[in-house]
Amino acid sequence: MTSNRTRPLATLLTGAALLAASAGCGTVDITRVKLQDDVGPTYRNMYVLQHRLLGQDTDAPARLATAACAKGGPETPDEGPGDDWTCQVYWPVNGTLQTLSYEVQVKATGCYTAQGPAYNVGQQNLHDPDGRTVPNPLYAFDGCLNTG
Amino acid sequence: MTTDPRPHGVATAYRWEMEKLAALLRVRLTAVACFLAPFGLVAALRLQDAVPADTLFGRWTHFSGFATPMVVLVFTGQWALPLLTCLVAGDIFASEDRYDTWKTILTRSCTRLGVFWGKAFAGMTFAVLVVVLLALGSLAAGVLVIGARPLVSLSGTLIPPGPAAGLVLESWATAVPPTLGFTAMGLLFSVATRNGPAGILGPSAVGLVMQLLSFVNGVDVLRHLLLTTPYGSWHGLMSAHPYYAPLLWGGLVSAVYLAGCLAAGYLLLRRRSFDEG
Repeated sequence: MTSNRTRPLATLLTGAALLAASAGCGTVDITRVKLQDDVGPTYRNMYVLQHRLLGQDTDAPARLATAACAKGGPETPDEGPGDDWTCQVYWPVNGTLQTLSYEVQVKATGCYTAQGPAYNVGQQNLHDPDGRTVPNPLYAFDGCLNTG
Repeated sequence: MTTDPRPHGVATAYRWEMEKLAALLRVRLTAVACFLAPFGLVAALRLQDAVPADTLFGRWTHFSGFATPMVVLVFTGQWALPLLTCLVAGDIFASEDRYDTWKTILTRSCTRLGVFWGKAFAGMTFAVLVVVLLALGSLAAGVLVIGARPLVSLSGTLIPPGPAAGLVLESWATAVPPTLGFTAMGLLFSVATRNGPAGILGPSAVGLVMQLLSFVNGVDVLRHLLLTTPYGSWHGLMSAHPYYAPLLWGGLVSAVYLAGCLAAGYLLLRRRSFDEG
């Protein structure tokens, strides 16, 4: 009778303790390396997608998949959510590569929104060869980091 | 109590509960709304140029119909699913208090354990039904009204229509474990408070508090222990390089909430005395 009554409670407590212990092993969810490893390749894919939507062939240089991200000023540690992240990416112009700066908002969930300079990457919407309005993938794009 | 010769009657209790639920207007309306509401959302989106750009996949709602079910998943996962599932789970025990019918159902061929599990399974069946109807409704609305163009993944790659439909359904399937967790919480509130509205709204309030906690910076550990976090575990499926760790962890967290709330609910019900009524 006693063991019957306490067993579920004991199981519950053990489960909660195990959960807390294993969760404690995790470190910071959002880091500079994780962010630039996601923003870079995603930016390059969006660059390719923009050309595809416009009906153009493109040969996106591999370098486009590398980004350099930082949070806030020099004193701010480059980790954690916030709307003060910036990521430098590469933009091909006449066979050379310029740097572009994306403003990146990272949420606590690990998902981010990167907004690019419209002067270079174009406005929010594009017109495809059939005249339809399509979103400009480079104007702003979303992504998520693995926070597991 | 230790050796009850009668069968518990879980199956009988479950059938009885499902029949009662199917007759409830509240349950029927919820089921119909879950399937049809996405059509209303898509129609509203089509009438305007603006897109819900602050939601994942929101930018692509005019482009691909497969973005619709993902936007609906992001919207509902945060607050609507806990509320919808508790419309049934939160009231399923309390209604017996309201109508003073505990003695009647316990003298039938069901034990307390049988009644508990019959009601718990009925609540969970409704939870799964809500998720399935929302998933199919929003997928159908998107594909029929917007069209079946490829979906742009979270990595910027294009997913062809067939795989996109599969990924959408898989993503919706990841909403089942946390929804079952909230269902169990609703069952617990229902047993503990003996009050329908408290059982229906309580878990949603807990869900909102959990969401607020998840915005607190610097406590990543805490975020991993919240029942609202698994609602985002589909992110890994929509990546060009899929990752499953949040999915597995979210399943484990949901299972702990489910087991914990069910155990607590059963212990409370078992200790209750129905003689005074």
